Amino acid sequence: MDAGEPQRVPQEDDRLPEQRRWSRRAQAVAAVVWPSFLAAALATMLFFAFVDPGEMEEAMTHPLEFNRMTGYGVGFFFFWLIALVSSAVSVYLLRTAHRNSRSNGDRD
Amino acid sequence: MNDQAATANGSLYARQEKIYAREVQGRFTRLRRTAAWTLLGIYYLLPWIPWHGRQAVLFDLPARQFHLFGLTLFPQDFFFLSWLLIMAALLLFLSTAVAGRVWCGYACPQTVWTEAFVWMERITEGSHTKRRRLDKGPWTREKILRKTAKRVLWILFAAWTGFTFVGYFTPIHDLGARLLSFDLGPWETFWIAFYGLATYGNAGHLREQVCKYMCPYARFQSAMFDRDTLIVSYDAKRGEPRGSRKRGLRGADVGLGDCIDCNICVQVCPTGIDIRDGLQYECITCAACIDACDSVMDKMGYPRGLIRYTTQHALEGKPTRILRPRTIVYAGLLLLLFATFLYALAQRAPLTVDVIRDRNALYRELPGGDIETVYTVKLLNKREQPVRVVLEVAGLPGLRLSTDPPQIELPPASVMPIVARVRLPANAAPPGGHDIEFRARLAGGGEVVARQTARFIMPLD
Repeated sequence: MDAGEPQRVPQEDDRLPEQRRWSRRAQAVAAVVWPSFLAAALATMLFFAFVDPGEMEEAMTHPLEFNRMTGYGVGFFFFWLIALVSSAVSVYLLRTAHRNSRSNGDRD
Repeated sequence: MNDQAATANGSLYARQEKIYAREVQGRFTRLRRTAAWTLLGIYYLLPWIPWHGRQAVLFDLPARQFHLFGLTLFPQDFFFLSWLLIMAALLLFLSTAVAGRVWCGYACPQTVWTEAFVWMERITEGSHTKRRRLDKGPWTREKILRKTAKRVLWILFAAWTGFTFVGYFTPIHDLGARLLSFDLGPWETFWIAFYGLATYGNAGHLREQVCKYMCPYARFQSAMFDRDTLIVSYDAKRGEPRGSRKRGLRGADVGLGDCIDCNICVQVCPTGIDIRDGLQYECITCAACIDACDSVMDKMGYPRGLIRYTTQHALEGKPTRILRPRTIVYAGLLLLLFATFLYALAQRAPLTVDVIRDRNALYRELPGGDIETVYTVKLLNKREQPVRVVLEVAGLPGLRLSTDPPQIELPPASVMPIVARVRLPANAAPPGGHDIEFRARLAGGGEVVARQTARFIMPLD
């Protein structure tokens, strides 16, 4: 941008990596991973407010060796997995519905 | 990009000062930095603050108690924590209705950590033009050094962030000591790495993309918006038609508005939008474009505020109202919730009793002819002072209770399981189950501070 040279409008390629637009796939991954993470955090909080993983172990017929921290950790990832599957199915349904309606010649 | 802007450039172009994102200076940038450093300071220092011999803010997951300065919450007090979260959400709604996305621009952890990571990038790799040159250029010694320095700084900072995060959930002094002696538990190590990595990825790489593609609040915040909400807006009436002109010329002299179409507002935008296209959900109201535009207006000798914080009503020349049904409802609800919270906190039982009957046997027949049932009584002292209690049992005539020791000393904010044996002569009650009541009485003949009902089973024969 020196004097005399016409000023350029910033192009997509010009942008720094963090300013560039995401692909649809990247957007879908983000829309699955992040909200399910939040949902899992909420579910973990609610669940373990009422259930003490230490007491869960006592109540088992064949107690596994684990402490509370393991209980919380495993619980969180369990909830995340469940929410991840749900979000992924939602995204899959939305994306494929769009494609099918196009190919069938239907209008949205 | 912007066809209009492209055609408007050309012969009318006048010499332009080089202004890069690095050089955005101004009121709002200063405010944003101050907010970011303050909040980061609070985050990193808070776990180190002591309070009566323990950590002031500690969500002690291993011990299942939450300490917030003088207040100790137990899982039984879940209500209070969820109430606090609901109040926080309402406060967010209220602030959004009044001041737009101030949360996004100044206080959101995503913004705050991004600010810190961008700062580290700037001190290692230089301005955004230098960065672009560095990225496109070959791997020289300088490039390797600068890139490595950035990564090392980022990793250290992210690791410290992860460590601090875990320090909110397990005593941080202890955690630090064990970190230095390489004696961390597997889950502590895992969560430090997990949170560190999340910080590194979110603040170092994704940055405002999180706001654009991942944040649900960014999408539904417009539900709280109305024409009186503070937004960052381009004053199209004043700016259009935009176009470049020689410095010193007033827009009116060349049939143009005040916008010189320098595109600096677009270049500084972290989400890459053109604010002149109107209100967009990508805008996190960081106000970088305001500062950038103001500095250009200063150079041109035009009044500031071509891009500014304003409201739809103000842009239309109508008065802006802060008090309106929406804000009154949000504020009223918030006040109501806050008052309820304080009331409930004041009414909170300082001591609770939880009774669990022995799982292995309904009852035992003792040689003397008595029937005995063993209970585990969990005494929970929520107060910050120790308390001495004795247990009593009532509900059937002739009930006798013994605990070891008879008088129980409960440390401050603690749970203590006590084995309680309850006996009744075999003929004192009909067969079947009976409700009995456990009571905790302050030692020395004080008042009953907690009660809990349990079942006592008499043999059927």
